[in-house]
Amino acid sequence: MGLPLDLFVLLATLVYVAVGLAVGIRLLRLARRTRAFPELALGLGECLLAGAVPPLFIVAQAVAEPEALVRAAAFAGHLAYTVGCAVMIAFTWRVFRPGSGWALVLVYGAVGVLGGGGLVGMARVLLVPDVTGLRDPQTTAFLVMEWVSFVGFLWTAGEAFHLHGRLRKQRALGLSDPVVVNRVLLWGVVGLGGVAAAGAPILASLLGQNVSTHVPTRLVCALATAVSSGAAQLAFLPPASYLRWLRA
Amino acid sequence: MQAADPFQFVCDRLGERVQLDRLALRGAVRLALKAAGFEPRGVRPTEMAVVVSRMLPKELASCGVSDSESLCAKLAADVSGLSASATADSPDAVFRRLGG
Repeated sequence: MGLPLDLFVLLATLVYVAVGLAVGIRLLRLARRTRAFPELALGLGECLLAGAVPPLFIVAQAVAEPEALVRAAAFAGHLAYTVGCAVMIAFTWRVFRPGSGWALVLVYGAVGVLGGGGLVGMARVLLVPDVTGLRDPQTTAFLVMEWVSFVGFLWTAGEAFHLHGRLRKQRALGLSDPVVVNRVLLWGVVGLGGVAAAGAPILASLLGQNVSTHVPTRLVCALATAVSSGAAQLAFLPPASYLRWLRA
Repeated sequence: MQAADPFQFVCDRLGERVQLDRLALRGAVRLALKAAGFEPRGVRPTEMAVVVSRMLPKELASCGVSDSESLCAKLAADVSGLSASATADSPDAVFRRLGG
């Protein structure tokens, strides 16, 4: 299963990076026009989590020299993961629960834990004597950040599916746009993809497996990123034929 | 045109026209909103008018209110005359904008 799985993981990662960058850049350009927080947060989150984190961690794991490049990639990867997760959680708070006290506490707590984990991870990148030590992605600090990401995406998916249920009822009365209803559903699917992509390595670590070589974990992560990419593409960069189909 | 909370407006008008306990009235309006996928906070006057004309008659009838259809038709016309107050972005408004 080695080579087909490697190819599938590579293909899924490439598509994830390409779609994430395309969606992220489009949303950042939208944010420049509207000056609104949601598109800024989501654009930044897509660019960092999909566009930057995978290539940076691939460099950190696959490249041996020069040492400065490996350390820089690992450092930037931790920074991008920290900021990317934080802005995605802030997006969910701002869009779905802007007036909620518990949601604000959750955001502060998540950002605090992410910041702590990110700082520990970045300090380790600078201090570890041998760069081959950076190839193990499952450090305690990174696992803690993955837990926060898991909870954040679970929250995102829950809010999106809840809103989708309401919008479907509104749609039956002609009070909501079918494209928007579908976009919210697709965002829930992106959230579920994030849950699986963060949850699988957590589970593997709990079971004592090596995340980098554990076949089921790699398969779940690749499938999750592929599904997320497809959903993000249809939600934020849909082909005209897809929009016509939704409105038919 | 006046800016008012459409939910409160409908509850107040119903209270003037129907002999029913205030809590029961508000409950009926809440149920109608929920069945249509809305929450009392943030619903716009045009949306409330549709909910009142399409969903509320059934809820009021189940509370024993007679002639709920014509009552709700008048109420829908009244509430659609309200001006929408400026509110923060609703989630669906954000997702509409994110489509570009």
